[in-house]
Order: sequence, then structure tokens, then C-alpha cells
Amino acid sequence: MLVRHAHAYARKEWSGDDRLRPLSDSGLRQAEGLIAVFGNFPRPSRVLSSPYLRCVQTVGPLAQAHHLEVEPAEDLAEGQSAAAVGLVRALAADNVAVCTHGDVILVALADEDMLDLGPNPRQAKGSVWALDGEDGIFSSARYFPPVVVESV
Amino acid sequence: MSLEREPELSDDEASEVLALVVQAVDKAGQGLVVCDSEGRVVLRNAPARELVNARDGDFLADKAIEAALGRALGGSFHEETLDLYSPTRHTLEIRAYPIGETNPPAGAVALVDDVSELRRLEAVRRDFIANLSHELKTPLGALSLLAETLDGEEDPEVVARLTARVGAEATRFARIVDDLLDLSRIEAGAAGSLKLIPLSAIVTESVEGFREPAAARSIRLEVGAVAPDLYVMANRRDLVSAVSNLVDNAIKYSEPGGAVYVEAGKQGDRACIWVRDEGIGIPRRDRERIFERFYRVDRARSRWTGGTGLGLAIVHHVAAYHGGDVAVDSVEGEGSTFTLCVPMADREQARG
Repeated sequence: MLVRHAHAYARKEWSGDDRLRPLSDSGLRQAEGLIAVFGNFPRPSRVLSSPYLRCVQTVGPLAQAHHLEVEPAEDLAEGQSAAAVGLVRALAADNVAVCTHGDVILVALADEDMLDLGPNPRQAKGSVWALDGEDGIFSSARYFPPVVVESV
Repeated sequence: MSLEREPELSDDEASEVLALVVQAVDKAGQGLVVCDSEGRVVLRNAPARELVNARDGDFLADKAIEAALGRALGGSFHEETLDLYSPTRHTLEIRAYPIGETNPPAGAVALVDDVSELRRLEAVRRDFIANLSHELKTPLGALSLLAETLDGEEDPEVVARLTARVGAEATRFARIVDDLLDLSRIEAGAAGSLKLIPLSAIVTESVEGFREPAAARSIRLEVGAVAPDLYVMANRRDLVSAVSNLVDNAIKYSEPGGAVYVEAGKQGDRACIWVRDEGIGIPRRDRERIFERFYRVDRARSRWTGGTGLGLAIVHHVAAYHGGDVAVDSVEGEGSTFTLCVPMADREQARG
């Protein structure tokens, strides 16, 4: 399950380290909503995330709901496309939530494995792409748009 | 023309006509088997004998034809498709018709077609369309996703990276379309006329644009001297583009510090160009298929190197319409050699 991090504060509103830029209020509500999105899938056995705060926060409530710890993985950080693709492939057969940045991972996987992403693929913040596969190769991909809960 | 026996035809004449007809149906492109009302086979033309006798699967084919004739003797048209797997995969289409208006019929005829090649071409076309759809959709899907990711992104570094990807995907799309147009032009035989060209000129022009890219990746590009008296009849642009393609691949699949060798010379009555690299090589199972459209040994690698998956298919077609061919020899971990050969031109004759 490939999760794109939820809505974060704008860079210009955040003066600190970009890695520590937090989710906005609506982003936090999307993060809560992720629990509902994951209701479509079997319970994840692990929750991996880019170490960037906005990613860790995105899957925080989901991990908590399933009594799991968010495992930070540097390979999932922004700009680590090749490493991220490798990591995601290694987890192909597992039931894992992987939170990362809107980046080229999905594009690379879709191309290499000839996945059909539909006519006009999207990857909104807080959305999930459910990828099914085994032996490091994916065979199908489904998109789940973000769900925003009313209040946190 | 009516084959009905004319009243004034003597028995001898009738036999002559029959003999003529039997020979005539041997010329037909499809197998024809005729049986009488008892189901006894009275005629089997040459293609039918060939279809049924040429292979181990003949027993099955024979049985199927007999069964079809039996059904037709029952009074109705019968059609079936038979897949044979031995010794090679073959598909036969059998259609059997009752003969005459009587019931039971006076006999039956079975028409047998070997549709293997037709089926194969259908499958190739189907695969091609499916692959093509995917290949075109991938960069478009990527653009769609990149646009969404760029939306609201403020980090100049991230924007620059994503914008570069947008450019790369658009370029890729355009290159696929270009290659497709090339391929269809070449396949349609609109290659233009062939001209007498020195082999050395083909080699020189083919490597021209690659000295810099090779050097940039610390790859030595070594071009052997070509005997000046070797000539080929070629479409200059296409043959140069085919050889360039091989050189381009060789460089892309070489590691820094490696070398690419381009040599050309006479081999029998053909002029050959060898492009050898010291790259990763091509697994045996892929070697036969790399000339197919959109076949890739390593999709990930192809993605990063910007290949369209059509380059070698174009090379294959260019070689073919020049009356030649292209082949690959490879040892995994040691490198690959692509050999493109075309008939040698006789300079005096070609000029005369």
C-alpha cells in the first residue's frame, strides 16, 4: 500500500528544517481518514515511512490503530527514487503500508511492471495506491482517494 | 464450367477429365479430402497429403478429418480447429461439407487449412496493440501524476527535479511516436531506392555522433578500418540509423572504463558490420526476442536509458529490406556482439 503523505504546511509558512515540516490541520484529518481507507485492505503487518515528519505523521494514526510502530526508512525520503523502488519491490508480497513523497516510485513501478493505472491516474496527498504483487513484481494497482474526517 | 458428365463423354474421356481434375486440385492452396457415401476416402490432394503426412501429429489430423467427413455425411456442415503440438505447434482449420442434394449425401468434402502462420500473426498484432497502448499510456500517466505532484510544490529543488521528469516523459512519448512512424514507413516498404554506398561511409557516419557521449561516460569507442573497395546497395539514412542504433545500445549497456568496438568487412558474399561491447550481456532466453517490438530485457534499465523498445525492431526491419539480417551473440557478464549483414554490391554491375 503506497501512501502519499497528507497535506502539510506550506514551505513558506515553515522556517525550520523541511524534514520537520508538519502536517496542516486538514492533513491531520486526512491522516485519521487513512484508517478508514485501510478498511479496504487486510490489516497491515508493518508501517514504513519516509523519515520526514509529514510522512511519519501521515501514517501515525494508522500505525497506532493497528498497534504498530512507524518504521522510518531513509530509502523512502524525498528524491530517493531508485532506492525507494527497490525497497517497495522487496516488500511486494507483504501487507505493508509505505508512506512516501509524491514522486516517481509509482510511475517507475507502473512502467516496469506494465501496470494499468487507468486513463488519468491521480496521486492526491493522503491517497493510497494498493499494489498487488509477488516476487518483487507487481501485477495490479488500485487507487483510493484520501478520506478526510470531520475533526481530530 | 460444369464438371457434370456430358452425355457424349465416353468412359475414356471421363477418365481423362477425372485425371485432369485430380491434378488440378493438387494445385490448390488448401488441403482437400473427398469421401464417398460410405466414408471411404476417394481423393486427397497434395496439400492434404502434405498436411497430414509431414509430421508426427498426422495421426491426430487424419482422425479429425475423418471425423469431420463423417459428420458431413450426416448431412450438415462441420467446422473445427485443431491444435497440434508435435513436432511443432500447428493449427489446422477443417471444414467439411456434404456433397449433393440427396439424403444421405453422395459423399463429403473436407477443406483443410494450415492457419498457424495466420494465428501467429494475429497474436503478434494483438500483442503489439496491447504493448503499444501500454507504452503510450505510461508517459501520459506519468505526466498526469507529475502534474499533480507539482501542483502546490514550492521547493525549487523538488520543482526542478519534477519538471525535468515532465520533460523526460514528454520526450519519451515523442520518441516512441517517431520510432513507430519509422517502423511503419520501413514495414510499408517505403524505404526509397537503394544506392551504391561504400561500407566505410556507413560506418563512419554511424559512429560520428557517439564519440562525445562515449567519452563522457569514459567508454572507448574503437572503430576498425574498413576496406575502401567494399560497397553495399543501401538506403543511406536507414542503414546509418540502424548501425547507429546498435552503437548507441552498445554504449548505453557498457560500464565506464569499457570499450565498444565497431568493425566492418566482407564475410562470404555479404558485407557485415560488427558492434561489440563489454557490457552485461544478454541472457540466452532473451536473445531471440530482443528484435521484437517493445521487447525489453530489463524494463527498469530501459526506462533509465530512455529506450523506446523499438530500436532493435527497426534495425531488424532495415536489415531485412536490404536483403540482409541482424543477429546477436552474447556471453553474460562479458558482452554482446551485434552483427548486421547485407548483400555486398558489385560495384561495376551496380554502376553499369
